[in-house]
Amino acid sequence: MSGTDPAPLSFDDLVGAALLGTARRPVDPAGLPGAVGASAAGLPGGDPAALLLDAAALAVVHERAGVLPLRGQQPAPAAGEEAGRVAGPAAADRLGGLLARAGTQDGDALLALWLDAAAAAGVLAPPVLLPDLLEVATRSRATAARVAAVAGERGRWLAQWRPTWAGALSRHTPLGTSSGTAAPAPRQPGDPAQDPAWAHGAPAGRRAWLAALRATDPAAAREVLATSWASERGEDREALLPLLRDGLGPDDEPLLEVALRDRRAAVREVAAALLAALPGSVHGRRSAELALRHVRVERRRLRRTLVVTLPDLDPGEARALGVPPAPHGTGARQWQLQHLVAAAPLAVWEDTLGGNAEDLVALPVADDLYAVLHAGWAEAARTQQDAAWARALLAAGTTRDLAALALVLPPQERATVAAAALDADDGRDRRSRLPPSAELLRVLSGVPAPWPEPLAPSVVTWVRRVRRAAVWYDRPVVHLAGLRLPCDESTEAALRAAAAALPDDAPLAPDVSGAADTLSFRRHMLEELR
Amino acid sequence: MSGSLASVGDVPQRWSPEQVVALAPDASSVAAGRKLAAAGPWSQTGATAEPAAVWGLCKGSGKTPYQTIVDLTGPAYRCSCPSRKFPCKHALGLLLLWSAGGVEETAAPSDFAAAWLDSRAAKAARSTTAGADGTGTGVDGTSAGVDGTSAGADGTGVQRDAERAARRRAEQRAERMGAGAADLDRWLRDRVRTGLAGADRAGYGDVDAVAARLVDAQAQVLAGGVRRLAGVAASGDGWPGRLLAELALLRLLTAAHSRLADLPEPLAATVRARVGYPVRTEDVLATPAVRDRWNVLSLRDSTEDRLVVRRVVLLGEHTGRVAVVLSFAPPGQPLDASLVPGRSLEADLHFHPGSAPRAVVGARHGEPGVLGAVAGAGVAAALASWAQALAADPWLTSWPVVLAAVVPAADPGEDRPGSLLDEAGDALPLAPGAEPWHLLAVSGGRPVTVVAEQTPLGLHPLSALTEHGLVAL
Repeated sequence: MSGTDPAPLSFDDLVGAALLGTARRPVDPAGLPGAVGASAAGLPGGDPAALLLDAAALAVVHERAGVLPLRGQQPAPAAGEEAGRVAGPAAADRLGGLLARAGTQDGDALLALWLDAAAAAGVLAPPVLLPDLLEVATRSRATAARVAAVAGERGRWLAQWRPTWAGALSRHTPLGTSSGTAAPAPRQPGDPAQDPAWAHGAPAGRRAWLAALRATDPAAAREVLATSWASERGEDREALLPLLRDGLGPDDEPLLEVALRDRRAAVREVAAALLAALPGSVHGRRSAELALRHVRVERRRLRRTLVVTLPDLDPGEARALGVPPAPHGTGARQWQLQHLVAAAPLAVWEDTLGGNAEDLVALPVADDLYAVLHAGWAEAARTQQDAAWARALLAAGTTRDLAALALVLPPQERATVAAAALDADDGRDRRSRLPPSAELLRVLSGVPAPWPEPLAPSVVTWVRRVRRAAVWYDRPVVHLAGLRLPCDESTEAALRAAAAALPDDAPLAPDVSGAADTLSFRRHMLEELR
Repeated sequence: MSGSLASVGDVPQRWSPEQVVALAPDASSVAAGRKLAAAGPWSQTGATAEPAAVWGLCKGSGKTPYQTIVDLTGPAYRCSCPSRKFPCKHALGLLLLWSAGGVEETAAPSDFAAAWLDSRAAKAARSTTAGADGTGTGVDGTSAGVDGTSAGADGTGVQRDAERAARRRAEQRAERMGAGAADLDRWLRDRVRTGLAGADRAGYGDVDAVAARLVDAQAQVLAGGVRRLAGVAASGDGWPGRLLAELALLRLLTAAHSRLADLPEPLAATVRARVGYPVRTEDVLATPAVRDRWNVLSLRDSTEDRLVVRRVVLLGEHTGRVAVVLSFAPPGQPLDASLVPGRSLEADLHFHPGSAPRAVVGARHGEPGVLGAVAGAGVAAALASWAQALAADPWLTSWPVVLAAVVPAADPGEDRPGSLLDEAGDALPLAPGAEPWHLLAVSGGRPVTVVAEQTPLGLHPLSALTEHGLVAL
């Protein structure tokens, strides 16, 4: 027993005694320092356990009540003055609600709308929501760009405190310094190929580095890639080559010609597509030459008719031209023709066969080979971004890939195509493997918000027409309409009326009222940001 | 449509959107409610001052629209939708629409609304004649209905009998609680006599048995304290010190309870409250009123023991007193929404005896107004008030403080703010679980007034007063 030891006790000694048990190690808490010890001296003895507990209570409350201010703390450096206008209370409330739903598909779509609308109105996010916004920004690049546009001075200041936040924002240059996309590490005056980010980086980092270089200096990027081409792994060649599409020019042709003979099929396909998009390339001329041998105009029964013969390239020749192997169930010779046509510059047809895109597309094709020829032209219209051909092919209605062709056209015309596609859907064929709504969705996705005039009435009549026949595949179409239709009151009312006219058990009914709700949500959102 | 202002006349005082939002059971209900706060889905809407009600038909996914009626006096809600949330999104949407001026005043309720409103009026009339007073409902949940609400019929003889019965019940209860506390006291001393070593691994199984005996003795609050010990024992490094502290504070309570009759009044009341004696709202309302202009500084909901607890922090503009008003409701049920952060009200507050800062709102004088001047204090003054509060109630674990002109600060070399620094160079640490980012964001590194809860482990920020007004953190 050492209860008589005069050395001052501490709270830890009480803890030690409590751990062992006062039956084995009683303590005399009068040995506690200061006021606690003095008070403890007056505690009733008797039960050593009670004495220890009572002394501990004194010590605990003494410590809690006696807490002293910290000294020597460094204040956070103040953020710069905010130049922009911060969202008002109603807009802030709405953003808060959206952030609470972030992570759900619906919530994220609406959040993106809010951020875009705020950026367009020149409104900044309220400071109290910045931590949540920055957190959301760390989840996706697209969101980070949107958040960066409304974060303001305060947001950039706050982001410096956490590496993940700073990383998310740093990829996007602040407003005002509109130098385009993020630049890679400052360019050394020497050989860019020696940049460690390229020479030793991970695949994703190298890709980003090259993309950034291509955006600022296309020739340098091509040189860097050409130098290392032979030593790149197949999957890297496949990942890096498409970056040349940005700023594609005649000087890229030699590298693309090399890539066209690559061991890897995917690389050859990328090269062929890029070469086809390159005006005046040798590859295009060669393909055109071959293609023209198989397509000619004849006069049959007094009508100009396209007569098509099928090529029969040997495998080596096909490979040299970048023709990928025919998919299962497609005739090899038809496939070859389609690819030759796709790779040929469209102007060749106008010059050689006579007539413009509209005339040529309207010509009858002998032996029902129009599908092959038109598919080739459609592919060419897409890669060569030729609006006249895309328009002619869409008008003829002979090709299947409406969405890809519509993307070649300016937005207003895309809307007309989409409206026509909606009007053409009579609600049937819903059980087929590729329901019409799948194509509809792709066409509509290509029309940016707000959807121009012919689309709103088309959506409404489409909803009424599809009615009970609608399947789950139709729902994304309705959702997209909610996000992109003009959010004025009359469109909303039309949509509500359409929802009301649907039978109660129509699968689409809740989605249509949901889309109307989204329109009203968007309208209020815009009013608040004004 | 939304721009037209309803004529003023005898329109019921419209609520602010904040007031409506405060009624919502959760954030998703608010979002859903906002979607419906447009004229689009609504038809046959209307509002009357007498009875104070709003109603409307809301087009949902089905053929028949939902009938939504809100009795503004309760408030009470009725909606024919199948939602189990309370109020449902339709009621919230309707209230928001009304709040924005989108509901026209009418002479009398629509037929569908009238039936329900009449039945409510009839029920209210019945219960007034039965003598129940409606003052405390919903404002102070623990007390309501625990004791004695059944009393109160007219005959004085009956009343005396009822009073006697109530007193007898209270005595029996005190006796049982005394026995429970004595039992707990013995158990606590046994722990320390035999030693705490191994408590972290043993799972502290006998805790449940002790807690069960305390529940039998109607000492639920003590039982809760005992159950928490298991978590403290399992809290990792340093657990023996924390466990001893908890055991010591429980022993302090049992020892104080055994001497309850000898204790001076405010302290005895504190002990009774900490042990879990029920407090009747009538008794709290009978304490002297503290009239002031009360600024509502924070509102926060949390779930404890399957109840949603709403804590509202108030600061008296002239008295400088802080108060916390609690209300309770089962999840999904509405909570008291009359205290709106960022507003102020001229009212009488009655403080729970011995349980500062807890208070009940008594008489209100006039309509709520805008936030008045909020006088915060420096760190040293805040710590002095915390020490004073602990001296009165050593079991106190959280105390509201209002800190003036503080900046988020960090230890030198630390890259995460961990304290609040005042103009005198004094700082208070944030509690380990409190995240600093929202406070940092609203302050921008400039001095702001911060409303926080001081706890034994540090501060939990609740809200901040910035150039944009009061912001909840």
